[in-house]
Amino acid sequence: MHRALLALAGSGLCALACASVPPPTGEIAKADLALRKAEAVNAAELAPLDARLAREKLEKARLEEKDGKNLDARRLAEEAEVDALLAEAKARAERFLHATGADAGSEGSK
Amino acid sequence: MKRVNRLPLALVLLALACATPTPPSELTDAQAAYQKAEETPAVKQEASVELYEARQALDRAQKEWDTSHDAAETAHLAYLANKRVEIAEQWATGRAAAKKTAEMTSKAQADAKAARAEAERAKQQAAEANAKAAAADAKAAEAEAREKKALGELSELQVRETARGLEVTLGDILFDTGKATLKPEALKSLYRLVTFLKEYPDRAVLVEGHTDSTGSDATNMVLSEQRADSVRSFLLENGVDAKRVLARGYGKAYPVASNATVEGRQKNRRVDVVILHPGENPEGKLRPPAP
Repeated sequence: MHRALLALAGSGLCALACASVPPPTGEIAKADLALRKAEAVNAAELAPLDARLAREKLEKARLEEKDGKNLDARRLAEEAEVDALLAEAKARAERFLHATGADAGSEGSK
Repeated sequence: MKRVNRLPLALVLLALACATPTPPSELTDAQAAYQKAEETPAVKQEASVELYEARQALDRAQKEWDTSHDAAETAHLAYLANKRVEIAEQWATGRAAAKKTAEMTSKAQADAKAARAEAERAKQQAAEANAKAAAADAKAAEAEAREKKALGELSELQVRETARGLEVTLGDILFDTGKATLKPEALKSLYRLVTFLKEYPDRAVLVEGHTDSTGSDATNMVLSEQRADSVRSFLLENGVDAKRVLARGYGKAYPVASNATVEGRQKNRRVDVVILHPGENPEGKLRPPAP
C-alpha cells in the first residue's frame, strides 16, 4: 500500500517534472555555437581538456534530450556552453602568450 | 521490517536537511573563486564584462540555493559560475598578453625608427666630415703648390740653402756702379722676393750689402749700407713689415771672389738677402760688422 503510494507519487512527480521542463533547444544551440567558436580558434589543440569536456557534454545533452530527460539535457547543455567558452578564452590567451604578434591577427580565419 | 527501517532514516535525513541546510561545495568554491578574481586588478581591468557575468551566475546559484535548497540545481548553477570566473581570468590573461605584445611591437617599431634616424644622422655627419677632410686636403695641396711655386720663382734668383736660411744674392746688376738706386731690371727679382715674403709672413729677412775692394773703406761702407737700405726700402714700400727686415752694410769685408779680376770684383759687389727659417728673429742673425 505504502509502496504503491510512493510509486504513484513518484510517477506523478515525474510526469509533472517531465511535462514542466521543455526540451532545451535554445541551450543546446548556444552550446553548439560556443563550441564552434572555440574550435575556430583551435581550442581542440590549445585547450584540449575543456574543448573535449564541452563536446562530450553537448553530445550527451542531445542524447538526453532525445530520451526526454530534458532537465539533465538542459544542465548538460548549459555546462557544455561554459566549458566551450572557457576553451575559447584559454585558446585565445594561449595564442597571445606564446605566439608572436605576427599571427595574433589571424584568429577566426580557421 | 522494511517499512520500520525506512521511516526513521527518512525522518533523520529530513531533520538534518531542515536544521542545517549545507550548501553544496560547488557553491562555496564558486564564491571563493569569484572573490579571488574580483580582488585581482588585472581581471577587474581587462575582463570586467566577463567578471560581471560570473557575478550574475554566482547570484543565480545563490538564489537557487536560498529559495529552493535544491542541491543538484545549485551545484549545477555553481558549476556554471565557477566556469564563468575561470573564463574571466583567461580573458584577462589573454588581453594583458595581447596588450603587451602590441606594446612590444610598437616599441620595437619606435626603436627601429630611432635607429634609422640615428644611422641617417651618422651618415650625414660622416658625409660632412668627408667633405671637410676633402676641403682640408684641397687646402693643403693648394698651400703646397703655392710654396712650390713661390720657391720655384725664388729659385730663378740663385737661391742657396745655408745654415742661416735661404740666401739670395742680388748681383751688382741691380745697381749702377757707385750708386745705390735700384735699376729697373732689378725690380723683377725684388718683386718675386716681395711675393714670397707675403706668402710666408712668419719669415724675416736680413739684407746685407757688400762691395769690392775698389775705393776707400769709408766709401765702400757707406755704399754697401745704402745699397742694403735701398733693397730694404723697396721691400717696405711694397708692404713688407719693417720689423721683418734688417739691413746692414759690410763694405769689402766679406768677398766671395778675388778682387784681383774684373769677374771677381763683379761677384763681390752684391746684396745678399737671407730669408730666415719660419719664426726666427732677425736680431742676432746678422754677420758680425766689418772690422
